[in-house]
Amino acid sequence: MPDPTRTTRLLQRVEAGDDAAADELLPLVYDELRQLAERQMGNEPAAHTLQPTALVHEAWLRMVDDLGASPGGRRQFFAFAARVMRNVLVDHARARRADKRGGKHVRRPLEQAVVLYEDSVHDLVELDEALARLAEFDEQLVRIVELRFFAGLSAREAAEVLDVPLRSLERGWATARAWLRGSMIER
Amino acid sequence: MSVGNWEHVRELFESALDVEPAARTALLDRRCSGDVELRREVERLLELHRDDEFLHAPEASARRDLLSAPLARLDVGSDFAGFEILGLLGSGGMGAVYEARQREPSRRVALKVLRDAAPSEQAVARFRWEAELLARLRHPGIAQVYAAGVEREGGAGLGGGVELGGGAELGGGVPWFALELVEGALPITEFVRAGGVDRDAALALFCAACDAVQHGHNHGVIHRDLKPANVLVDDEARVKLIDFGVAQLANDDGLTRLTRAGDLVGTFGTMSPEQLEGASDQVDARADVYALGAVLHELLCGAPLHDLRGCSLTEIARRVRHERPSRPSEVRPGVSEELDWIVTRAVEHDPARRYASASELAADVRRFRAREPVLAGPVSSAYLLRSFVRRHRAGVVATTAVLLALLGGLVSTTVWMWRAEESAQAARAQAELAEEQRLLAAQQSLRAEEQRVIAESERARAERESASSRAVADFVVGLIRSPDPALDGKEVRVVDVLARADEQLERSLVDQPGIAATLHATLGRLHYNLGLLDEAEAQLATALALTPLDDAAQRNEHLAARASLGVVRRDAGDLIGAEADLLAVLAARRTQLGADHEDTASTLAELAGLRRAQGRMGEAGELYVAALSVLRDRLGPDHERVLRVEANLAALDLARRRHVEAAERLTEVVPRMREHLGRRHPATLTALANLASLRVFTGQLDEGARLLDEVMRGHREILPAGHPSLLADLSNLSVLRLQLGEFDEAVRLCSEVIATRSADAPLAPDVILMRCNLTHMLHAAGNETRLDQELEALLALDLANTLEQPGALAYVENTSRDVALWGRGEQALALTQAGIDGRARLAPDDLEGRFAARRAHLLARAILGDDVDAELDTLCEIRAQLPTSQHAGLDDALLASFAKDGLTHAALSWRDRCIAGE
Repeated sequence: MPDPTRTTRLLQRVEAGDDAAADELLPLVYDELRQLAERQMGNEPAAHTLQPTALVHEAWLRMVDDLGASPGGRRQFFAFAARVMRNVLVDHARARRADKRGGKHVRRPLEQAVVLYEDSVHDLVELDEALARLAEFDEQLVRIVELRFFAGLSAREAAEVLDVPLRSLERGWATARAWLRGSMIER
Repeated sequence: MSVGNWEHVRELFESALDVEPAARTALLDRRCSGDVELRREVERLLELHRDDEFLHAPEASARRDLLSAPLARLDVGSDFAGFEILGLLGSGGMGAVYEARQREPSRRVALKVLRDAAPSEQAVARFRWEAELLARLRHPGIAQVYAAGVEREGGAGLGGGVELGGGAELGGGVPWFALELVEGALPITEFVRAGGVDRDAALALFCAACDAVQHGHNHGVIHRDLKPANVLVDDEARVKLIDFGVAQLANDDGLTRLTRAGDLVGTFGTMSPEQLEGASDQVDARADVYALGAVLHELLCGAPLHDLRGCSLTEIARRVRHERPSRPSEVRPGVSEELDWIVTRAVEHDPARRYASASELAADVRRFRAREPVLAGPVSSAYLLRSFVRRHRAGVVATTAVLLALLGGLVSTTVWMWRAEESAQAARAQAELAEEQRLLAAQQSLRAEEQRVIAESERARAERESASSRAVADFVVGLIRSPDPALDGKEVRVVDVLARADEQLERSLVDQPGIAATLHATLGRLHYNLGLLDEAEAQLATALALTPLDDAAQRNEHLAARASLGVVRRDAGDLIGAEADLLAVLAARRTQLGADHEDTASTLAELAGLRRAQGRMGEAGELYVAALSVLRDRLGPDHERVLRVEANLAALDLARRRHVEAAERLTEVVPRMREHLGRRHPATLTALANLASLRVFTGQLDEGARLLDEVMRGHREILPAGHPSLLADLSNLSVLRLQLGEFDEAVRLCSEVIATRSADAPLAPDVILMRCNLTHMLHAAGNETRLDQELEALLALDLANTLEQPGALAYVENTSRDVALWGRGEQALALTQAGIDGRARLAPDDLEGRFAARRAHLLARAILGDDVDAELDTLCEIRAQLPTSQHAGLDDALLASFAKDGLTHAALSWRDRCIAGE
């Protein structure tokens, strides 16, 4: 993190509902996470394929600690980091797709992670597109998916981040999954 | 899917999920009331709703996947690696455990078969080595590892009875171990619970477990996965540890298993923070000490250290790393506080604060069992007193005074050295010293950078014959040359000039990226040397952006800038960014220059500094050593770079408390630094100061004083009078002289500090401290006349009305006690009164401060032989207003003070008044 105070300030603004700050924050955190993810995932031998996501979580925790964010800021940060994770993974999935189309096989650092994620949703790019459609009428469900799927948070944690009761988070999660499944089948 | 009526669809779908599938039709009939489209969409969602893998985050799904994947189940009666399978004992994320019969020698064993890990050549070699280590563990408390190996797929082809993987081949295979079969045993916690074992017997079992762990440690094996389920007790109450070192053998610790084991809580409840962080290079015997502490916790109160039920991985990591674990007595109130302390000490987050070994932990538990004082917890007079009373309930009153008198020797004097960890102003002084050194370094680097810039512009001219680039470079060099910090001594001016240079750069060099990059990098380094890290980082980043890596001419410039950026980030605390930079530079330099080039080696040395900042001390040491060997070869033994790395290596040893090595290295390098860098070079002086502190540490006060004297003289030459670093030298030296019995010299040095500082900050805490120290020195020197003058001067300072920091009053309060002991009652009480008034004015709400001031007053009066009952009452009232949690600490300190001065009556009276009532 090049400048913790700047990030903290931005987080505070995000917390206060300033969307412009979120746009500014995104690239900062994105780079950080991408570097972390690539370094950690790139170095691991095959037997450790499951480690990366766990380490990315660690990285987030560490960042939050570094920031010393307030509980509110901490929640905000997780919501935010989930979005970042989505972007990171989808970008990689997209690049991978382009490589394949071009007949190249480039081993990208995040390839293992993408493969892992695509175990439970056959195409991250399609999921991303479906999420974009969902966002048009139910932003909350998109947030839930980002937290539960991309960030790998438990239902309890996701409920805490979104500040909703656990029960309603679980319901929303079921709805999101059903709708996305339908939406991706239709395409 | 239409989304026009989404809110209704979502609401109804979620309501339908809440009812039984059979009741859903009725619900839809009632709620849709003819809205066909609504009904169709809800029904479609219900159809799509399934509890399956879809959108499960990888950890969760991968975990389930692994657990359900058939791991080459071995049939009963079948043959595997020379073992006959007798039955399945259990299976988990790591693999399965079978009861099996070994043919040669014939015996029944527990055969642990791991999941196919497709081990690499390296992994197999390591596996074999570790297995040999494990097989050497022979201890009645450790289930023995009989054999281990890697079986090729299909289980065919390997000879039977292969000991220690002798037949293992490279490539894919299934690792396995044959372990001593422990039958009819229970996990220690269950054994204690089920058998109604009393606490003392449970502690005896625990000690036996510690002994077994220690045996492993003595043989270089760390268990890594101690938990109740691995600490078994058989029906004859014998402890058997299972899976010793197996986690390591299976290359399976830390986060890897987070995603594999089904039972997160069982495994992570006892795992140390450093293991959870995946910092496998930092995992040592103390991780087992932590786990033993967690087992003890559960043994004592039945609850795990952390309640991790229902927690995700993220939560587990956070809790274990950041939350204070519960104390056994919080769960089960009957547990005595000594056991709380023992557990707390064993599970400290910082390994350095835990018991250093399992045997130390066991020894403390044994002390408790023998009703002796334990080492954990606050070793305080009050505790010792209580422990003493516990052992000798009879006749305790008669001996209390004796004990108190004995304790007197434990308490140190009120004279302090200036040490970073001890006083805030010393910390500030350190910071200022660092700044000062940067400034000095800046002078040097200014000159070096001039050379660089000139050389760069020469090169540019040769290449391009560009008159303008030469002119611009000249201009910037002129700018940089204009201030001379040695003369001006004000870094502000340097900064201003740098800002001007930056403006110039922005304006005039846009179309000359090569030169602009060099100059930005130069500016970055200069800012770094001035301690302006943010600006340094920005400049270096700009330089990087201007020098594409693919341009051969600019590659060196690029790498140099990136290396500097790594150093800046490291010192700014951005260790992650620093690591990326330094590793990238290292890799590039290795490729382009080779591993034996001095620049590659210098990068290694910077990386070592990073490792040190990351706490990876062992690695830091190795890197320094590697860098040193190359630098010596290339540059000769006395080059500045070599000497600096050697000094850094010694400082690392000092930080690792390897005092002998640090001292040896410093003894060797300091003379060469003196000779080749100069006696007043900041690096020389820092190394000397480190050596001085080492000498003091090992009791060589004479030598410490001699060296510190040299540091002080060096600083006197290069620093202005009144500089904090110089004052710190003088103050520390004065205390050393006092300890050496050179009272007059001590008085002289201390007076110099006071005189210098008093001119501009007569009431600064450090001045108060030195004035207090001076009274001790004068007393020791027997100079009563001057002592009298100094005390009057101290009292004349109007402490109560002008002092800004109440903390400095602590010095006065402590001194008042000594002044009373010197028989100067009037002055002592005047000092304590100044403390009371000062606290009341400066921090009226600070109860602890009031307590301290009143305590000093009480002590002084007690020493003078006054009746202190009223004072004891006052103090007791203040204590009552403070949180109960602080009482024990306050009592301990107070009783220690009484003990020191033999104030038996006050001690007993305090116990009766305050402590007894609780």
